[in-house]
This record gives sequence, structure tokens and C-alpha cells, in this order.
Amino acid sequence: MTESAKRHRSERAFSVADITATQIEEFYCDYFLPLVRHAVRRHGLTMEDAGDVVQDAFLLALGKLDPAGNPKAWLYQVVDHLSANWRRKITRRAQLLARWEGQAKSGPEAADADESTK
Amino acid sequence: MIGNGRLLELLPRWVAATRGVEVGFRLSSEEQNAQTRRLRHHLQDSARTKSVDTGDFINLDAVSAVCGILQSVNVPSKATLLEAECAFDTVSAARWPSGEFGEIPEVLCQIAFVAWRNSRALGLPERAYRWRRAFENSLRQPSTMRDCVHQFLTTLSKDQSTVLNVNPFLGPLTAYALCALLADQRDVAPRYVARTGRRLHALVGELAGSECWSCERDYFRGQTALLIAATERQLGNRRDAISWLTAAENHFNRIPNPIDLLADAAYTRFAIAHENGAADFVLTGIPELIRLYGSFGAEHEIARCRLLEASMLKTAGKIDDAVRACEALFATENLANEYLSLGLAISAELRTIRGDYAGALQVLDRLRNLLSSFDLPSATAHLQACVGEVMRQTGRCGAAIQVFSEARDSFARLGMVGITARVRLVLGETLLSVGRLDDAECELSKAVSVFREQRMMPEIGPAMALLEECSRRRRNQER
Repeated sequence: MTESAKRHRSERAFSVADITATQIEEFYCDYFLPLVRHAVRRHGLTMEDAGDVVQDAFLLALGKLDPAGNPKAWLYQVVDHLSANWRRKITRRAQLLARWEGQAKSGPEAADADESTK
Repeated sequence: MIGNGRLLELLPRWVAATRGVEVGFRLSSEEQNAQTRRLRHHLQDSARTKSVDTGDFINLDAVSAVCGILQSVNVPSKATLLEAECAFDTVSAARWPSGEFGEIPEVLCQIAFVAWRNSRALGLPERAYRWRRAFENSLRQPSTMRDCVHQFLTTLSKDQSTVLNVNPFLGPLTAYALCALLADQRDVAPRYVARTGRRLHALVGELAGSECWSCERDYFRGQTALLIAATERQLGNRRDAISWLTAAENHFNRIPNPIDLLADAAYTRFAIAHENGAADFVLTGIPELIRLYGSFGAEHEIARCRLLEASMLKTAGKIDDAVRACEALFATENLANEYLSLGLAISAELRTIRGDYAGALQVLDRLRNLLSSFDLPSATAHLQACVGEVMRQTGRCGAAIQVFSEARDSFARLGMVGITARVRLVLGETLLSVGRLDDAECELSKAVSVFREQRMMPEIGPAMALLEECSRRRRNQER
């Protein structure tokens, strides 16, 4: 992306920070919700988790979105990547939790022994 | 519907306004879960009663949640298939506002994929075929999902190293959509399809095992290999076509319930045999293949077989039988434009052979009208070749040479070397008939080199005879 395009975008980002209620509603219905639903459908995320992922995608878009390309496709793919990472993180956390619970059930000695073998 | 400009304008404002704030939803998690459960019960009831009801509680949030649940089921089951079937009918029947991301076609693609996947795994070829077609039709609708798949293919065709970065993104649904979209472009850009298909074939071999059901990797590798085989045949590279076809059959033989896949492979084998002039093999096998396709309602494929049969009968000189095969083709309901156009081209050729030039021109006029509303470049090239043949038969050799040259260039632009060489052969013969020996020799030599390279035995004989005729006439002129 050219320097002038970057400058133009950052000017636009900081000069018009205010947004009307109608515009909020418009953006919410036309962009936020469809991307949330996409993450729910494609990656099985909950609406809340998907909402966080989409907000992260919007933040990334501020710095990286190329207005000359296909912004919707770009956002869609970023939501896919972030959702996949999110799901991986949740799976890893669940595995760790299951291991920890297993260790806790077999007693603190076993957990200590397990730690020392590591 | 608001455009990209509006997105770019509102995005920074939205981010600024929602920074540090949790964006909420109209319903709480419990309410959303209750709504999803209600929709699932409704779909399961509809599956039992075989009715479609688009109640007012059906909304995209609930549909999306159900979609996510259906896709996450990892074991094939009849219950999932029935629920997906009902979900598809319900979403299709409901009225939705058109959205920015083309969500409805995406939802339909995802549900059709679930239904296809389960029917395949359960050994239900008729339903698998129906859901494959439903998926392809939904994928043809504009949506951001389609744009992304298209973008993925473009990246794949240009630079394989870039694709490794998006590899984790590739799952069975994406792979299925990539295969379908690439197959759709075969007639428009065969060279691109052959090149990209090879890369896709390598890529689908790396699909994560955890995401694939048993043998799905073989399914995708087989499908891409078959697509490459069919495209190489279209391009005239017969040796490549045969080796890819064998690879596809090997993959398919490792899959349970491969009847529909082996039928597609058999069709490609017959199409290659058709080009080798093996009339007995093709004409004996095609009726059996039509019966097989009929057993799972593959109307589109039956039309394709009838077209091949008509063309083979024409090549074998069985003109009356070829006319009957064309009539059977035209009687097909909802005949796809690509088959209708090729059928019309064959019909025009048959009329030309019978000397019915006025009838041939009438058919060609119908074909020209059809092609003016659709982008079918290979059919357009066929039309040019047919028009050239009518001109030649009616003694208008100058015009025929002009039209044959256009057909040659059209086929060459599509990278279809085999058929380009055949047009060169006819063009060479026409040039020879008007005494343009240098031009004729040039066209025929180029044709012969392709025939030799591709081992197109039936064509080599006539081409060599015409080249000898050129030399004989040149010797006579020199005397």
C-alpha cells in the first residue's frame, strides 16, 4: 500500500471518531453480525467468542486492510484465521485442564511426581 | 446493501466507538441456546413429518448455530443427514434480506456440504448426487465465501509457496468448494484449470487428518486427478490425460461406495477413446454408463454421455443413429447450455454431411443466439469450425478459410492443442484445394507434429496424405 493511502486512512480514522446511533446500527447489522455468524457457522464458536474474534479482526483491519482489494473477503479470511487460532487455544486449554484434573484426582503426590519427571 | 466505500468509512468510527467496550447481542447466551434448541427440534420434527415450515422463530443467528453444530458432527449418521436436508429446505424456502456477505448462499453451501458428506459416507449415491448439485448451484451465487475460494485458487495458480501460509485454513469444505469452482472454469480456461488442478491435487493431500472423515483425502485427490485428466483430454494431451485418469481410479478404488466416482472416471475413459476413434469400445460402453447414471438420477451426466455417443456415431459414419442420439439429447429436461450448444454444433455437422446446408445454417443461427447470451468460449470455437465446414461444403472456400483460421485461433487461445491441430488439418485441406500450397503445407506440418506428439493415430494418416499431395503439386508446378 502506498504512503499516501496509509496517511489518508489514518487521517480518516482519527478525524471522524464520532459515530451516530444509526451508523452503529447499520455497521452492526451489515458487517459485525454477518461476520460473527460466519465464525459461529464455520468454526463452531459461541456468539460471544465470535464477537471478540470479529472485533480483533476490525482492529487488525485498521492497520492492514487494503482498500484497493476486496475488503469483505479480507475481513472474512482474517476472521477465519483468528477463529481457527481461538479454537486451537480453547482445545489446548481444555486438554491442560483435563490433565490437571486427572492429576488432582490421583493426589497431590502424583502431581508432584509428574512435575519432577518433567 | 452498502458498498465497500461505506465499510471503509464506518470501520474506523466503529472501532473508535467500541474500543474497550464489549459489543453485546440482542439475546443472552441462554436465550440464543434456547432458540437454537428450538430450531433443531423443529428441523428434527420436519424430518419426521417431511414438511417444510418457515416459522417466524427461524432467524440467521439460530440457523448459523445449527450449521456450526451440524458441521462439527464427526461421525456419519442418518439423523444428521435428515436434519441437514430439512435445514436446507427451510433456509431455501424462507425469505431473507440480501446481505453484504451473501450469507444465504454460504449457509446453503455449508448445509449442502454436510448433507453430501453424510450421504456419501452412508452409501446413498442418489442423495449424494443431489447434494453435490445443490452445493454447486449455491456456490455459483455471489457470496464472500465464493470470492475467497476464487482468491485462493488465483493465489494457488500463481505461487505455491504463498499457499503454504494459508494451508491451515484448508478444510474439507474449502477443498470441496475449490474442486467445484475449478471444475466450473474448465470450459472457459482449461490451461489454468490443468495448472491449478495439479497444485490443488498436491495441496489436498496435506489436508489435516483430524478434519477429514475416512478416505476423504483420497476422495479429493481422486477428484482433482480426474479433473486434470478431463482437462488434459480437452487440451489434447492424451498421454497426460490417461496417466491422471489412472491415478484418479487408484484413489477412487480406495474409497467405500465409489460407484458415482468410478462412473465419472469411466466417462473420461470413453471420451479419450472417442478421440482415439475407438468407436466399438465407446458405443458398447456408453449405454451401460447411461443406465448407471440413471440409477442415481444424474441427468446432467446422462446428457454428457448422449453428447459423446452422438459425436462418436457421427465420426463412425452412422449418421441416422447420430441424429437419433441428438434428438434424445435435446429431449433432456433442463439441458445445460454447454451441452445444448455442443449438441447443436454436432447437429449442424450432421445436416452438413447429409447435404442439408440450409438446415445446418438454421441450427448454427440458433447456436449463435445461444452463445451471444453465455460465455462459452469453447462452444464459440466449435461454432466457428462448424460454420467453416458449411462454407467449405457449399464451395465458398475463401470464407471457409477465414472462419477456419478464426476457429484455429480460438482453440489455440484456450490451449486446446489436439482440436487446434484438427482444425489445422481441415484448414490445410481447404488451402490445398484453392492452390495455396505454402500456407497448406505450413498448417499441415504443424498439425502433424501435434498428432505425432499426442499419438493421434487416426489423424496422422490423412494429414500425411495431404502433405504428400502438397509436395506432388509443387513438383508439378516446378515442371
